[in-house]
Amino acid sequence: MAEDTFLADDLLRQLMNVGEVDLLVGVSSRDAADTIAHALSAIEQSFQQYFVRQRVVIVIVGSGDKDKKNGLLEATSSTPFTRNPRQPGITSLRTIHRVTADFSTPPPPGVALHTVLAAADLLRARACAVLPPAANLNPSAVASLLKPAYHENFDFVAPLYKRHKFQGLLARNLLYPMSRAVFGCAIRELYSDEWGFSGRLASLCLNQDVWQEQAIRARPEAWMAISAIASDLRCCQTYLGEKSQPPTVAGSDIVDALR
Amino acid sequence: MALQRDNLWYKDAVIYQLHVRTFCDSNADGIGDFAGLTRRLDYLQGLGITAIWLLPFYPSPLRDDGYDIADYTSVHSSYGTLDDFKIFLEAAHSRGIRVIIEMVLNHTSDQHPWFKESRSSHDNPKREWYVWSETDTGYQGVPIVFVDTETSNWAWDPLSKSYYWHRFFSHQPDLNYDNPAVFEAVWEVMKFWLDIGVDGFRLDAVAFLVEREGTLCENLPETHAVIREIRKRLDISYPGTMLLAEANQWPADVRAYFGDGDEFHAAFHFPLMPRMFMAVKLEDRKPIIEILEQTPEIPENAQWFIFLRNHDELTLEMVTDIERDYMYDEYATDKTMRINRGIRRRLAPMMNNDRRRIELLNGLLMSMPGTPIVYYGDEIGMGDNIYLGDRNGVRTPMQWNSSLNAGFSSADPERLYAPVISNAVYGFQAVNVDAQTRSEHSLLLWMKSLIKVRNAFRVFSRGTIQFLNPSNHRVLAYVRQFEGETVLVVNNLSNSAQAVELDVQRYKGYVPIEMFGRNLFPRFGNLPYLLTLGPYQFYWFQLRRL
Repeated sequence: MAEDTFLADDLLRQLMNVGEVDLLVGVSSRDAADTIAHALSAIEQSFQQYFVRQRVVIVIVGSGDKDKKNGLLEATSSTPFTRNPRQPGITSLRTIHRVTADFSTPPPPGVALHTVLAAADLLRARACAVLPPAANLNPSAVASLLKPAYHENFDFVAPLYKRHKFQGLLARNLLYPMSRAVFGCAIRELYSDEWGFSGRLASLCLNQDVWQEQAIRARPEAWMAISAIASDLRCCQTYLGEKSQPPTVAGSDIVDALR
Repeated sequence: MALQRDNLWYKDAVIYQLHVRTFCDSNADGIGDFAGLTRRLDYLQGLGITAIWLLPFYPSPLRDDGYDIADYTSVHSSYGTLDDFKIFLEAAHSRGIRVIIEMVLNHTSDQHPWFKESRSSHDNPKREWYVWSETDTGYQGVPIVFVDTETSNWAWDPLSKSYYWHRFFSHQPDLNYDNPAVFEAVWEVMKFWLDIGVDGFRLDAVAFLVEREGTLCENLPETHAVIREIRKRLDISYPGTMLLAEANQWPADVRAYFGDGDEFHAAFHFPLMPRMFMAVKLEDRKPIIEILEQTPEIPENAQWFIFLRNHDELTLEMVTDIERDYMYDEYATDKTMRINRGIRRRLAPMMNNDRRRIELLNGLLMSMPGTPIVYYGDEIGMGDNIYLGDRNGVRTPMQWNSSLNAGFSSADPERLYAPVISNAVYGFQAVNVDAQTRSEHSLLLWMKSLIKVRNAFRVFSRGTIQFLNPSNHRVLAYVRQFEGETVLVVNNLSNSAQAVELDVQRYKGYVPIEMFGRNLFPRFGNLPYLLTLGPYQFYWFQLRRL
């Protein structure tokens, strides 16, 4: 259960209106004013295409006035009715909800995840995913992260990418062998900005007394993966295709440096 | 109690749909008849309904439950005589109940004298009364309606060695409305019944009257011209009578059948019905709002007719493939329950006999824009028999009491046109009118009170609708308004208790009065109005400025 005072009243009211859900996707709008619209659209398309019958919600962790201004993050309980029933097509049977957890300043990743986990716990979500507000997010990737947890009862779903040989050197050559040696679990992408998980894992992590620790607040993703592995929960990897990198300043990326 | 003079009576009506055969048998032959129906009119008057819609009672080989008419101006001998019908009609009118009858304009039975003449030779004067062809290649691409039984819309006639056109069963040849003589003959038939005193016609399969090459042969301008001419003659010679369209189409397509108020008086809103069932199962108001927001405005003198169940399958023509699959999975898990593109079940079994859901759906039916139709037996929660074949499972004898044959007939049970429902849950011993009349909290008495409230407020039949769209999507809330009347309807579509905040700023200062108990609720103020609703609960509030 979430801490009594952790969630804002406004968010609680939104969650009350949503009610129990099957699927929950958390996405942070931090520094993503240009791409959040695409990401939300991709998530909704994924729901419409792969989860037409499920009760779904998108939890947007917003970061203040800038996000509000662009109008995209306003919570809503109703999807605009744009479908013409005379032209049957792929659609969701249910309302696709968006709720917004708004912070006055951009919250650290750990706080954002804490909020998503609390929402998942309160709404009794069966399968969840945390996604980046990326411009290249596609509906099938969203589904790939949710399906193992929803349909096959996996508790942690790590992404698996096709990478350039100079991409992800740290993850491939250091983190992966180390975690495999320590935990005996072959998860290649422990430090990822997108992953899926079950409601059970969400509750387990939420109830850990770690959320004030600086390391968790800064990089909670690996901690969550390790929590799943260490708790003997069911973990899997799902192939998401080629890993695309956000544009970076020349020389600041190890791939560029090695070219 | 005489009929009130009001040419728009159909807007305020609560209609009860029944088949004479199913209602009450007066002569112990196992088949319901007009004399039996006349005896039961007091029951219908007590229920509060104001009109009866009769399914076909004409002479017929009954290969399509009477929609295959062999004589338009008589009564099937099993149901009595024309005089019996006249007595029934007069008795209904004397109780303030109007009568709408079926008229099948699109086709006749192949046993109708018109068709017998038409097929007798190529030179017969009635040859052109039907649609004949030397080949079966015309009107390619026109959909087949009864996909379970028909493979083509053309049928070979070995007698005249040519093909005839039929949109429904092959024993129902389509009339040819390109021939003016057909129209005049049909008008004579309608005049026959109007002169007797019927109050309206439900015109069956109106979308298919005229055929044109290169089209789907549906909703053609020529079909509308036929309807306009009938309406014109009706308005001149028989004001106060009405035409009801059976056009299983999207609202935007049906809208054309109202014309500029010069075609049909009323039409069924087919797509709304499955979406009410869907919304309750999904616990989400989306399907209902979605279809109503896409329903076009209709002329002032026109009306939608809405229903939950009827004598046919619960049609799933007007839903997407995804929605149809969902409906099948949720409401027709046993494939025997499915027929054509629909579900052959009654209301109560579809709701698993859950009284709360049955009440909620009836509450929606009575409070949505349109004239509600109650299918016989649904007011007591009758069950069905999906093993009877075709759609006969929802056409079993009315259950009046727990005596022999449910009080429907004193014939030997083997002689009944169909067996009465006798299973442990829905059997006539448990579900019948007598028992429910004696029980203070029965579904029947609850239905009476619902209809009574509905009849007391014209806002339900003529009012506008405005959705409130609260954040809680499990709650469907709308305001109906007509002249000085304002009603707020709040429905919890879910299986669990819900809290909802309603934005009623527009009605600030109004006092909501719960319409069944007449209890006052707190006045609307500046803040969103908080309501809590139990599972499947609904409220009707009359809003008054006090």
